[in-house]
Amino acid sequence: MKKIKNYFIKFYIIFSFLCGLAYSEEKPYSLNELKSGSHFSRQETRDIENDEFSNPGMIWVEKGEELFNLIDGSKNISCNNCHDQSGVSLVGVAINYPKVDREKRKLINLEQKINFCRTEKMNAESFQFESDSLLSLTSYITYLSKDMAINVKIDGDAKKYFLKGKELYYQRVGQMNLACNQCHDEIAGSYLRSEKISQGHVNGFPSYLMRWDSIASVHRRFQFCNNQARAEPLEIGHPDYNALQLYVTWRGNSLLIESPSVRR
Amino acid sequence: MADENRKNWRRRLRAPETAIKGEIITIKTMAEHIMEPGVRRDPDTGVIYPKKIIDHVYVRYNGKQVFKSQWYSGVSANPFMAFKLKVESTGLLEIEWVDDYGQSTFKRAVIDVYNDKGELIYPFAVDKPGKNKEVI
Repeated sequence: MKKIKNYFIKFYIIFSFLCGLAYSEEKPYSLNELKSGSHFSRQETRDIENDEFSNPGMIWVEKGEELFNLIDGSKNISCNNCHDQSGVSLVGVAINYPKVDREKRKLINLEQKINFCRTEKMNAESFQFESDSLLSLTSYITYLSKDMAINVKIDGDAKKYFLKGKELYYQRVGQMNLACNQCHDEIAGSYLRSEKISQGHVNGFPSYLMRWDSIASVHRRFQFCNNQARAEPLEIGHPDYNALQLYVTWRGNSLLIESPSVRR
Repeated sequence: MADENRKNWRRRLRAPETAIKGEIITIKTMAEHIMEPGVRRDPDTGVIYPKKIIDHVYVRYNGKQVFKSQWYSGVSANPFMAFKLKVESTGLLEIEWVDDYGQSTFKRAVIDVYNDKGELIYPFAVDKPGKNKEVI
């Protein structure tokens, strides 16, 4: 019996060692160079963001908190019934997304996870992408893990999505023939007309964008970036955008979440 | 863009709960509003979005108007307004936002004002307890 036990312990050590050799890759920025998007925005914009009262994104957070406690669907439950009351807290959940869902067996982001939760656990109607309700709920759940470090996983099932995202990141698109890395890696910090180019991290999203007077998700920002390069944007919630979001989020691993941030 | 049919637009008001007599306090307000200037077009249909802005803001203290502010198109969405106010007595602060459709919304706050001795200053004359001995 003891021998068998020893055997299992040995096997476990070897197995955990193999798992330790998980997929890893070097980031374009070292830890000292890694800078959040607010570092590149102006002082006035940063002042609006740091004061919780004058930050317009907090309106969406308040709406999201209301929706979180709103009873909906044929089961007559709210998000609060499953999550807060039974002890499954949502604090620190947002730092892991986008991730590969165990039940769906594909890469999903936080918006899609909320919709799956609504349709399957609550028997309620799913929200439309970029609708006010979905953005509010996402902002609230992301706000719960404010000032926590992003930590998405790229090994295991997520590896193939990660490689796809990396391919998309370095792919030239559109009439301008631009790839993401040409601006956000090579000339980050220099001026593009009146704005400084950021390193392209998504730790501030869902973010209040003054040009749209509204909170915007990462995918909508991707669409805008594609439009700027005069490329045909994909639709919101597309698997390719999810893969790209995984790669971009991984680039900013260990940055603190500062949602809802304010950008121009 | 937010849902236009929703009636309960969010209004935010931050004022200090207590103040000393004669103190100048800062009050911050924010109104959730689309502030549609009336010149933008729908990119698909070409229809002009109708103008819808907040055009009057009233500030009252104890029912007395402190100031009135007139706004025109060009103010950004979710307008933020801050101002300073000198308080002499405890009172009810009321901010009223009226848009050009006549929809009026307000937010209220009570500010307790104390003098140097720590006594609450009422906005009306109060008989001191112990003087009115006739009332039994």
